[in-house]
Amino acid sequence: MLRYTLRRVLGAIPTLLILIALAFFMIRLAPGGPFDAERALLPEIEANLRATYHLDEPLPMQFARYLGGLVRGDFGPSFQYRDYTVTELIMTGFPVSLRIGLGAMVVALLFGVSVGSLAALRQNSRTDYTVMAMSMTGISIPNFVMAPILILIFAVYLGWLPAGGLGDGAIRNLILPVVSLALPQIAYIARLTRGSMIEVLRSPFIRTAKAQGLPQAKILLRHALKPALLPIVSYLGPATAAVITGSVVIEQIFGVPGLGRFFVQGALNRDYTLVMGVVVFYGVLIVFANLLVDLAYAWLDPKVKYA
Amino acid sequence: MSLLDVRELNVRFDTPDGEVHAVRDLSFSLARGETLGIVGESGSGKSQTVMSLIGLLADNGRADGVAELDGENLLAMSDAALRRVRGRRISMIFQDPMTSLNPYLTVADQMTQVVREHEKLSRQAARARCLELLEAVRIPEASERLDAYPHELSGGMRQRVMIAASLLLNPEILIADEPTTALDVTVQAQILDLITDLKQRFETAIILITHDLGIVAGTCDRVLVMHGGELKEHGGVRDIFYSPQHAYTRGLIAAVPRLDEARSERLAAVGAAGPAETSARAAAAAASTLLDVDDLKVYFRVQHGGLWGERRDLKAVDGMSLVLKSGETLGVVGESGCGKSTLARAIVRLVPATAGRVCLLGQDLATLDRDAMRAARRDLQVIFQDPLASLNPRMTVGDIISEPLWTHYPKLEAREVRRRVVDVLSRVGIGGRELNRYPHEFSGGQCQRIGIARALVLEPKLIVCDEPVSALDVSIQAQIVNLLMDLQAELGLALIFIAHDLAVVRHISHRVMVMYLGTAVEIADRASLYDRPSHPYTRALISSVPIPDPDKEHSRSRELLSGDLPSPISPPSGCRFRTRCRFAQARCANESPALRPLGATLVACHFAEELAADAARQ
Repeated sequence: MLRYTLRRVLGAIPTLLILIALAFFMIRLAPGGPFDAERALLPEIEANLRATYHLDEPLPMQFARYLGGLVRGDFGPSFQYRDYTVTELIMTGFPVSLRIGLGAMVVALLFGVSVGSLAALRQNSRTDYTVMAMSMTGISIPNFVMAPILILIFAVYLGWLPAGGLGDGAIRNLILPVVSLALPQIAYIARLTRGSMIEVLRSPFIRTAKAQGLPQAKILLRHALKPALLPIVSYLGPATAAVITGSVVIEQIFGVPGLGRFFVQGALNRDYTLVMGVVVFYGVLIVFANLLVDLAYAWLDPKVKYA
Repeated sequence: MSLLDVRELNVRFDTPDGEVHAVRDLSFSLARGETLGIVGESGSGKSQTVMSLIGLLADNGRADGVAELDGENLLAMSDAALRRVRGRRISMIFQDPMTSLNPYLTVADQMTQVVREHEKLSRQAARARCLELLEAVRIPEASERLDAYPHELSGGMRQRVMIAASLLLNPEILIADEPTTALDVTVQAQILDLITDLKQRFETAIILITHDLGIVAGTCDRVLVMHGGELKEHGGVRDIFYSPQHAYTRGLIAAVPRLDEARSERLAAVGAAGPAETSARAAAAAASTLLDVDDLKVYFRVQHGGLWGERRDLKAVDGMSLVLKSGETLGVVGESGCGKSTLARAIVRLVPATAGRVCLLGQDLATLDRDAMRAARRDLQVIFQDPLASLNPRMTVGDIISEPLWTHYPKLEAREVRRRVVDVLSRVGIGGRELNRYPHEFSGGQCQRIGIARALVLEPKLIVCDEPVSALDVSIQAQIVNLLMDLQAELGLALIFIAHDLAVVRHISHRVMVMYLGTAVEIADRASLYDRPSHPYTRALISSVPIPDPDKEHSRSRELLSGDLPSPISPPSGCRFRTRCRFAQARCANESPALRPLGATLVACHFAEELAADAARQ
């Protein structure tokens, strides 16, 4: 298990390198630079700035310098928020994003799995059709449409929840962002669960359990849930990526000061180091999430063994 | 008073095509400690009968009538009451031990929860009970197996676990639904022996559902014969076999190819007409050598121990040689995993050979380029095991059969293609009007006929049949075997007939090869192989096959094989069979026996002569 984990981590390095290179050169290809402003800087000042941040060196040199920094764990200084390093910015933004993202994943899993299982148990009933219709809607409506609708209903008309911002950081501020981020995931996980649960419930070993006189609830929890969860566990890797990309939009809509917002602001400002830092950070996060998924898979399925 | 009394049982299913009446007015009884066999082909309603008794019909099914267990009507019970009957008073074992156990739970988990569901027992006590039962079903190192997952056990071991789980609460009735159908004959013999033994020890009444009359003859006291949801005949096992009253029973018994009988030209076909009468068998004697396989090896690289594990060779076929004349049938038998299907695939080059030669009419197939190989395939056709799965579901029958013609004779006129397709279909007994229908509209037997027509349309010289009748019912099996024999007689085809059913192989083959772990252990003409088997493995294999004759079955002595087939990744040293051989000696572990002549037989055993002499003395 430990050897496997180590191998996976080492195996992720080339992937991350490609990711870093792509991001590094693509953001440089974008027109403009970090020091373009409405009022042009004096040429000497700009040259000074460029020299300070090594932007006057040839690109490959800059790339090598950046990689060197990464190896030492240094994401470099932000070009825009001049008093902060990128690391500091990530550390302020990430806890907020993590709360929203993790919250969305947990909500999506809890609701998706239970609603999907319910639909599977009552296959072809009115419950089943309702669940499936609602989840189709959930998948079809993008979150940048869903979020304003939710704000309109729960913040503007009903006035139950704040329309945006983190406020004092209380749970009620997080509810709307978490829900809008989770909705498409709930829908997808519900459909996935329903399908796999129906298949598992038809398998001969479930018939065996019935013939042994086990009650329905125990059959469901002890015999059916674990195998039915396997496809959902596999989906959690891509789901992490979906939640991260979703959060970029959601944080913007709700005005939440998370990592996603830094990412968008950084890209608009050509804040090279900030964008790079967030990309690398997200990359590592997704690699790590996929590793966790595979380890969870091995834990659930006795036939899968990593050595 | 009888333990179970079923009167006027009817089972119906609501389907989109209307109501299906699966069981009609069935009445029978079961006494304590008795074994009742229910025999019938697929669709006879035999499984639905028992499923209705314990309330496990599919959602669209309903049962009415009376089924009294000790005076209590099972069909009128509440769900909760019925649940207390299941597993405790009536327990069940199923056909496929691979899928009937939960692959995600350990043996102990699945067994203890049954005990604890019905009785108030501590975890320890439940575990102890499970261990006791695993030992009762003769599982070696039972205490270690308790924490194993099903996939870590062989098929036979899994079925033992199923049996142990079903006996945990000492039920009054054990229902066994085709308990050995998915197992090899050698393992089947072990399991049947075990069931008979346990029945006496636990005084359990058994309902044994099977399509195999041999199993009925050896294990049952009374028999119900079902067909199309109706009871055709009901009686003691000797009455059923020696004086069957109903025409269906007589047909069923006649349709079974028997191991103990000199071969008859044709098997009786039940209920359906076979193809037209045929001319005499083509003269095979004067024929020349068609196929020459020399020291064929097929290895697969496999990963041992998960991802990035050590890579080793799985020697599926390890140095096999055989010669086939035109018009001849060579039967190939062996347990599953012995490499017989790989041999078939390597002969037609569906898998590449690792070493050795396959020559068709003197031409080494491995040296042919793509075009030459395609041309050679005209003479070399295959029929597969699963009749439906081996036909493309999106193609009509006409398209399926004309495809090989278009491939090999692209310039053929459409009218000529159609003529040939209709012609070959009528040869296998399917009318020309069926050309535009799709495979799923046909029954299993008809699909296999279509598969045969597809192989025949190119007028090949050799057809490799990979378990062509294993998925079919007995009566359909008889029709297909007859068809193949007739076609051979008419067209002078050579057949390689692979099967695990020794009786069918005996019926159709001129010569028979017995395989064990990728090697041939015995090759002989049919009569000598079945009457005087030389290799200990052949002897065990033949003695494992149940004979559909109660008196013979009870009087014959058995040479049961112990254990399972060893892994082909690390086969035993020396003679591969030695780990399961009663006669094994030190020499067998060191020296691998070569295939050598003994009379007209080729046999690979160091002690073949001594064994033959022993057998002659008895």
